[in-house]
Amino acid sequence: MSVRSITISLFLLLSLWSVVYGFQRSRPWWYDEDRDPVTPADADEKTEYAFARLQYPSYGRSSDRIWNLRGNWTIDYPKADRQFVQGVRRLTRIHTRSVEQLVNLESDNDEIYNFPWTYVVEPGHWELTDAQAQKLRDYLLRGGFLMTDDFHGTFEWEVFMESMRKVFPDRPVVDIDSKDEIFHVLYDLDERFQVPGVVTFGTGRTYEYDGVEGKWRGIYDDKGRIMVAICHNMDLGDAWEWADHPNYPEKYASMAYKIGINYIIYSMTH
Amino acid sequence: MFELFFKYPIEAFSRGEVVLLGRWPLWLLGVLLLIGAGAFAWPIVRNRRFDARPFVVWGLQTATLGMLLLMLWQPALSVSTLRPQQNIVAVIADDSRSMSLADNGVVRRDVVLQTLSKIKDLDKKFQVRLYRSGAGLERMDSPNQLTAQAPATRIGEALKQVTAEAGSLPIGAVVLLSDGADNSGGIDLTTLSEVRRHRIPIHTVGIGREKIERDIEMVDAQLPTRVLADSRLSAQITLKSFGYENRRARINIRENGKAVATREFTLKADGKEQTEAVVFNAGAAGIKNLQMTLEPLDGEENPNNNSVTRLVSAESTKPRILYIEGEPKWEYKFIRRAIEEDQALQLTSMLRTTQNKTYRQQVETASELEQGFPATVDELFKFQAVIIGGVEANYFTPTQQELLKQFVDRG
Repeated sequence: MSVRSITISLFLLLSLWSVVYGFQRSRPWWYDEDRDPVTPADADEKTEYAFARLQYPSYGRSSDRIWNLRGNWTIDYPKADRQFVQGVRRLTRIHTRSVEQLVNLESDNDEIYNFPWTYVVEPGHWELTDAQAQKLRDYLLRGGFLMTDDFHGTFEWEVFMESMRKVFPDRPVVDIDSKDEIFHVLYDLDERFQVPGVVTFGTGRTYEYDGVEGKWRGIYDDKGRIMVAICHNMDLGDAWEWADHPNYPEKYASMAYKIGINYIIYSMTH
Repeated sequence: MFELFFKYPIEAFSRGEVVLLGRWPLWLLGVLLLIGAGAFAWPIVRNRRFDARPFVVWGLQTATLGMLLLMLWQPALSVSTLRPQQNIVAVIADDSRSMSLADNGVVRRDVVLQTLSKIKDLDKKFQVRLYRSGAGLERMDSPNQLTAQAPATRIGEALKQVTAEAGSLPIGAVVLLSDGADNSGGIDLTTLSEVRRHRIPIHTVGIGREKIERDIEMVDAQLPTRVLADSRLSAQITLKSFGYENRRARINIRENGKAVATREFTLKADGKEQTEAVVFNAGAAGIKNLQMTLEPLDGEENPNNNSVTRLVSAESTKPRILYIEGEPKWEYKFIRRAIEEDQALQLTSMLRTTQNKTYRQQVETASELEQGFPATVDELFKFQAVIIGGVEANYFTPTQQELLKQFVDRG
């Protein structure tokens, strides 16, 4: 082997090592170490409340618009769910299960009707079929409650509404007034602020895309009760997931817990 | 033969009671019999003869002694009997609509009149009181006052009233003339025991056929006497039928002639009582005259027993319910939703959301229940009902527990 060959080999090895090292060093601090957490011993406990996470088909699966495959129902799952319910257990008298419950809108599965409170993440990337939309409408009109979270900006809003219009073609989406009971049922949340996702936090920005301002919107039933609580331009799921991290500001985590808990208690009282 | 030995017929013994008229106490008879039996047994013991013969002799001697002693205590038969011109015989004639039916061309009411004319000699021996029985019992001077138009027959109620009169009148017997078509739900055990307690014999005279071939009859209709205006009201209709098994029938409910509810159902086997519920809205506040009617079926022999009328008072009060739940539960929400639909009720609720916070809903003022569960009579007795769910007993103070007891005792 010539000196040249040895030099080239060493150079290639050094390059490869530097890439691997560089990748490891540049691994973001939010790299999720808890993607596969240990199942708690009381996971099977029969409780009054369980955090129900909605599984849905992602936008673009059935069309050419593959603009965004990053958003789907698994985002922050399951750490955000489990960490949030720890807070629900500590801060309220709700008998709460330690692990989440996955629910869907498939025609052969009615499990969602056993969980009157459901959380959907990244609905700016969902695409409900007509049958799924009809089932979700039925679920909500029977007394179910849907909380949406972690979708940002104009485009994701449009995608969200594309499916939501199938669910409720005739019901308007309105900004929830600060006097609404949902902001007072346990914590008084007159002074709300945008809760940023962990992805944007490192940059100093609290918003994503053009979603500069946090929006708390809702869809009401005929009796004036909120059925769909829409958290737009914020990422409560990230706040729950990273509430235990020293780099994630406590004030955002605290706000995210308060909003989530208020929404649960509201859904159990209205 | 029985009378030859015992002087009176066996029926007298079955109706009467054997008593001892002797003045000496009964225990003395027993003691003397024991002494006699012992004396007769003494030779057996002394001679140590334990074969059968001395025992047979001993038995006969003892039985003879017992017989003689019994004679000394003067046995007698006590039989209650009517005393002429001192006892009253109450004659009750059924005056319900079913008595206007004809059996073999003869109207039942006429059969009653004929029967009463046959027993008119009764008043030569006893004082006779005539009554007619419909929804209640009514004294009448003459059998001609029978109209066979009363809307109901309540035999049990009639007997109860007669026996009640026996407290002040020397009623010695009751004669009841009826077709037995009682539509008050039968005679309850309390009435039977009351009649039995007075020991008044009741002689029944059946009128008409024992069984009607084709008939549906409304036996009873049970409704609450007081309801809330605009609330749901359930009428429990008890009926029976003959000759229409598995046929469809219909119940109509009318309020002052205006139809308010109807229900179709299938008739059960002949003579078997069945109860059907008809649910309808009580409507606006006020007194309701509700008529429950079974639509007559083709060939029905007696459509006169198809209706029952009841009065119901619909009240406009809006009772307040206090519902306290110890922890958030889904049923809390759905109970609230259900009661909110009911215009007649007002629900105020308290929910312990955290260890130190209670969430109140539908309170009348901002300060109502602010301090928690009511701790004074004024606070608690504003409500007409309290629902407690998921709250441990020690959540309530001793004062609150006592208040709750008073609340429940109030009824």
